[in-house]
This record gives sequence, C-alpha cells and structure tokens, in this order.
Amino acid sequence: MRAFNAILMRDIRLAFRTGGSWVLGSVFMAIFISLCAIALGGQMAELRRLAAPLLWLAIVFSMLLSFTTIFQSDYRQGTLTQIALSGTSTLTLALAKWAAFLCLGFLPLFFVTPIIGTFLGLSGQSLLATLLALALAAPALAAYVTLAGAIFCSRTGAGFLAVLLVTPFLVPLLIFGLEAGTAFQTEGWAAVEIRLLAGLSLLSIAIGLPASAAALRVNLEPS
Amino acid sequence: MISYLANPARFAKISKWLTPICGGLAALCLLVGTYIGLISSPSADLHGEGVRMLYVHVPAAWCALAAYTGLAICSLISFVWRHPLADSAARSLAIPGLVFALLCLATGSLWGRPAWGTWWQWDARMTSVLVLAFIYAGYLLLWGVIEDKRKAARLASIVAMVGFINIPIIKFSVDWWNTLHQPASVSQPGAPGMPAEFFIPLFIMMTGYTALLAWCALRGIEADLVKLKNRRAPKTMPAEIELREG
Repeated sequence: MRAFNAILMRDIRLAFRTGGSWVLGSVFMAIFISLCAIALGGQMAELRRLAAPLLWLAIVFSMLLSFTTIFQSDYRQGTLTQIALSGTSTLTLALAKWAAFLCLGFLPLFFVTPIIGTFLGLSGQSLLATLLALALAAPALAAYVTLAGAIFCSRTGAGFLAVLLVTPFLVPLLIFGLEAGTAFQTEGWAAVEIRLLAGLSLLSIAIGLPASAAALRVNLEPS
Repeated sequence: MISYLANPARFAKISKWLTPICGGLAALCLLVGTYIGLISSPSADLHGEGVRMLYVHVPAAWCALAAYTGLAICSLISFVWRHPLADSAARSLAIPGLVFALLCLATGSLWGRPAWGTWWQWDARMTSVLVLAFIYAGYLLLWGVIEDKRKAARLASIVAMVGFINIPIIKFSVDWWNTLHQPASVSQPGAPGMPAEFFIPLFIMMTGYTALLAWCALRGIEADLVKLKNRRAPKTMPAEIELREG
C-alpha cells in the first residue's frame, strides 16, 4: 500500500511539474469534437443526436493515444526497473500506474465533457446520463490502456499498433456504455444496461490489470 | 498429456501420422461435402438455392471460434509452463483462424444479401465476429513486430487470454440480443433443428473444415520444429586435415 501511494503521488507530482502535459488530452478532445461538428455540417439538431457517441469516441481516442505517458519514459530512464528491483510487485506497480492514469488521463476529460457537451447542444438529463456511463466505464478503459502501455513500454512509435491491439477489447465497453447512457434517461437507476456496464467494467479491470502486470514483468526481465 | 506432447521428438512422432490423416480427411470431406452441398442436396423452401451458403458459412464460423479457443488454451499453457511448442501451436492456429473469420464474414455477407436484403448490418453477431478478426490481426501483428521471439510469445499469450472474453459474447450474442442473425439451430436442445438432408452435408463440411484447421495447425508446428532444428544444426562442416609424410 505504501508503494502504491508513493508511485501514485510521484506520478501526479511529476505531471504537475512537467508543464501540464495532462491538459493535452482535453485539448485533443476539444479539437476532435470541433472537427466532427464542422465535418457534420454544424446543424445543431443533428449534433445533439450524435453528441453522446461523439463524446465517447473523443474520450476513448484521447485516452488511447496517451498510452505512452503511462510507462514509456519511466521505462527508458530505468525507473521501472528500479521499482521492480526494490521488491514492489508488478501488480502494485500496474495498479498505481492505472490509478495515476485515471487521475491524469481521464479526470480532466471528465471535467471538460459537460462544457463540450453544451457546445453540442446536450441537455441536462442526457448529459448526466453520459457522464454517469463514462464514469462507470472509465476504470475499464484505463485498465486496457494500461495494458497497451505495459505491452509496448519498451517500444517507441507503437501508436497505431496499440490502437489496433486494444480497440477490439474496447468495443463491448463502447456498446454497453452508449446503451447504458440511453437507458438511464428513460429508466433511471433501475436500467439493466447500467448494471451490465458496471459488471463489464469490473470484469475488464480484473482481467486488464493482472495482464498489465504480467506484460510489465515480461518487459522488465533481462533478456 | 501436456508435458507428454511438449517433447518435440514425441510430438513429431505423433504428428507424422496425425498430419496426413487430418489432411486426407479434410480433402475427402470437403470434396464429398461440396458435391452433396452443391449438387445432390435440395434447395430450401424459404431460402431457395441460397441455403447452400450454409455449408461454407457455418463451418467457417465454427472453425474461427474453435481456433481462437485452441489459441487461448495454448496461450495459457505457454504462459504457465513456457512450452515453446504451445507458442508455436498458438501461432499456427491464429493464421487459419484469421482466414476462417474473414471467410465467415464474406460468406455471411453473401448470404445476407438475398436473405436479409443487406450486405452488412451492425448487429451483435456480425460486429463481434468482426472484432474477433481484429483480435486475430492484432495477435499476429504482435508476433511480427517484436524482435525477441520469446518475449513476443509471452506478450502475445497475454493478449490472447485477455481477448478470450469475446468468445462467449460471440457465441451467445444471438441468444442475448434480438438480432438479425438467426439463433443457433445446430446445437440447441432437440437438435439438429433442421431436416437430415441439410444436416448431413453440413456435418460433413464441418468435419472437413475442422480437419483442415487441425492440418494447418499441425503443419505450422512442424514447420517451426524444422526451423528450430536447422538453426541448431552446425553451419559449417568440420575441417578435414590430411597429414602427408614427405
């Protein structure tokens, strides 16, 4: 637990000291959404209908594309090896990195979502539903992104590879997430889709994080 | 059983007779199945001649799922016991698996055009088979891009095991959701849910496809074994020295 806290706090402190690269994700999201709005012709009625899927796509891609921030620089500097040598298990390491990514890679996006959603003409109720579904799915998304980071931590320029490798795992989350959003608007908390999404999210965490730990161990072994 | 087969020499001894049997069975069943399916079986009332698509589509789907299940089991064996043969088996299953998944999508869309009036629909089963094809592609890509093959084997086995959640989703997608794709008719209770003249060619084709899959996998493992043997073989002949008195 102490190691978990130390790694988590270190990552957050580092992120704040190194020029705020954690903001870039939300900037990417804003640009992505405005490009979509321009490409779709800027009709407010149409955008409102597509707002929730567009927000989901923007967040998924923004998180996916920042997978290199999780492990890569630490791997190259040897920090990861140091942490592993100090007796911390790779599962703790993966868990802490996952939590840090959730704070730095997802939370800013989450806070920006209502603002961007308003630009897309999203009303209060559907905005709330989207935010809820996002919050339920985000830990699972982050777990898979952590897996991509762990697999490719020793490799630069693996962006497309990571997208191809992880996107298939994200598809069920995307489907259930959007369904949960629409179901929440009509049925509220009783919706089956919300429970399904929560279950899927927990399952993904339970699978993704040990897999990340195993991938880290493979990459940290002397070859 | 696992550690018995893990010995390459023993495996080679078994595969020496198993591979030709699988190959022969595949060739025989595919020929007979194609003949019965195309020529001697009747056309269905509802689907007309389109029903013959069944004989290539269903076995392809079954093989794509079976190959992934085998791949995931081999990955588990390779991850836990680090048998190189299991890696080789997993990779040899992935290549035909990808082909079968693509074949399943292609024949399915050819079937969908006359039966449903559309080439493609984003319904649960089609989407999940497409996702399966992507998982196969990502798995094979991982093997391709990582130079250190031992590392590649372990990372690929992790990815394969994570991807395995998709298999039950594909299998039960037609039961869980109301989709365009019809629910299972071969494996339901009181099976088969079709008359014998359709089921017999389908069964023959399924045997043939499965034998083909096994043949591809066995040949792949054999090829890897030969490669390994060649790498270990001495590259140069020992020098010969002749001593002459003079």
